[in-house]
Amino acid sequence: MTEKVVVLGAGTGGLVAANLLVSHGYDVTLVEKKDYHLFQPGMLWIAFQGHDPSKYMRRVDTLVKPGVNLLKDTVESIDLNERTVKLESGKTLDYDKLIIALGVSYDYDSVPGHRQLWETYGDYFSGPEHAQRLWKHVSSLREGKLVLAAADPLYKCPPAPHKAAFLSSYTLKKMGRKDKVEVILALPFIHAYPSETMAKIVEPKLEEAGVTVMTMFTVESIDVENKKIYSMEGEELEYDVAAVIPINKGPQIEITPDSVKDEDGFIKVNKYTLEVEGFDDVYAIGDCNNTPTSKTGVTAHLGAEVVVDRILGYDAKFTGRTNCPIVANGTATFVISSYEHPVIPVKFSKFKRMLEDLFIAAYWSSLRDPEKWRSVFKAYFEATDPTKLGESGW
Amino acid sequence: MSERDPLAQLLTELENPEFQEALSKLLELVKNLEKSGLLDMLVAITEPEVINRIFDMVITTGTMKLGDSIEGLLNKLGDVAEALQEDVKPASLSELIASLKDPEVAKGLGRLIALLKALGK
Ligand SMILES: Cc1cc2nc3c(=O)[nH]c(=O)nc-3n(C[C@H](O)[C@H](O)[C@H](O)COP(=O)(O)OP(=O)(O)OC[C@H]3O[C@@H](n4cnc5c(N)ncnc54)[C@H](O)[C@@H]3O)c2cc1C
Repeated sequence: MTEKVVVLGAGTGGLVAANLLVSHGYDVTLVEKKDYHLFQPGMLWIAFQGHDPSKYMRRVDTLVKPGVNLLKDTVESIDLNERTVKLESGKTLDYDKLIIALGVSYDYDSVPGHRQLWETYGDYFSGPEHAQRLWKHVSSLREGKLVLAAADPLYKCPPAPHKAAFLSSYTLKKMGRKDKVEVILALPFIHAYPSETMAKIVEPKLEEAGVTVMTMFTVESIDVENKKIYSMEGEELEYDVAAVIPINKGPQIEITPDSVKDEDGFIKVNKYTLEVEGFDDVYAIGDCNNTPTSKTGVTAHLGAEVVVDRILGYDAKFTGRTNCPIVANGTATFVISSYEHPVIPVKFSKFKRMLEDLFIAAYWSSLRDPEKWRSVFKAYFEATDPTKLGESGW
Repeated sequence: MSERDPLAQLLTELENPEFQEALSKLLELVKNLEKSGLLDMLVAITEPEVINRIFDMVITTGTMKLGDSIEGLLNKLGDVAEALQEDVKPASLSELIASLKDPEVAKGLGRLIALLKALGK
């Protein structure tokens, strides 16, 4: 009998896992609540350069291989002891193997004023429509302060606010408003980037772009009427337009036993095998798990490959490898690290920007036909392994 | 988001003169590739297995570092090309030794030594 695998969530991780498994002959059911898959970095270009959202969205049914049983439904609860998944429609699924790839959920209510700020200005995290709302405000900001901040130091894609700062300062320059609008990047870190090694590389670039950086600024409350943001560290910032990255939490579903979730709702896994604690037939990949590495599409993709290999019977292990791109005007760099290796110094270059453009171009194909891209990605990740690049970096 | 019938979209495109011109050029290209036998080669090269081998060969730590230095190398090559245009007198051994005091020459020599070392590895 073919093994029945249920995959929850058709984001980056879920699509790669489902498509790989079906090409190996598994009986795969994929559950996704939305009709469209969003290329999330695209929200930066929607919010800060006015791109059309359709460029970054594809119907989920066009991204799954024939043979994948795609269910449009919302996951409500999972019982790991009973091996069942309950859906909003009333359906119950059972499984031999379960892969949870539900991403993060956002909390706009823990920081007073945040929901109101988000409803007013939008942001570049929560969806294309919210990114469009932010673009409306950014593009009509003639003078004043554009504040980019975060409500918590732990959010997906650590360089996202840096990319937001680079893209918006470039846009404002093109519009001839560079001297009238100040872009302020307020970060909940000691340096301009969580890793000091990369901070040294990113800081001069931000300065060159004319971005004002404020460190040690974790948003505590927002006064939308008076346009002020207060930090936990006791400072305040005035703004004309602001986008605050929401607190990232684990997926909002009920799981039995409850003990597999940490206090923020992230699913506890073995960081190498990605097996959910205490269950060797359940995996959690990508943003929804508690692995001590950055939450990025690359991590979700690599995690999916590891889990599929394990289901196939190989002793594959997740290395915690990251490759977060930071794009600036015409150049880019990557934040490269793994469990075994702290972040190495990687300089900005035009070549890396070209690589990043190629990665973006390959995105849809790499979701639908991940097996075709495996060897290319493998070659790239081996070539840029932090140990191979060495302490001098890249 | 609006749904568009891909076939209808293609038909509208076909009516576009710009597209028609591009398409006829593309056909010309394909014919030329076929006549020269290059098309067979391209087909063979784009077989997934061959592609994989090519990527495996091309994507290495060395090429990734090289890619990054291309910008700098090209600028250097520009300087070299400019230097080659300059009128120079033949230099004597003593002039060569004297020129080592020039910081640019000394630095260039240092680079040359580093290069020789890398070649000898
Ligand atoms: C602004 C921004 C820029 C980024 N830039 C980069 C970058 O340059 N490089 C990079 O690698 N990463 C980047 N990322 C991060 C990347 O997008 C995510 O890390 C990645 O998408 C994680 O994949 P995932 O499969 O874990 O989750 P997701 O892709 O978020 O997928 C989760 C899926 O589950 C579905 N879902 C959730 N709950 C339910 C439910 N109850 N029932 C059914 N379905 C449900 C969701 O609709 C979604 O489709 C960026 C993110 C942002 C916001």
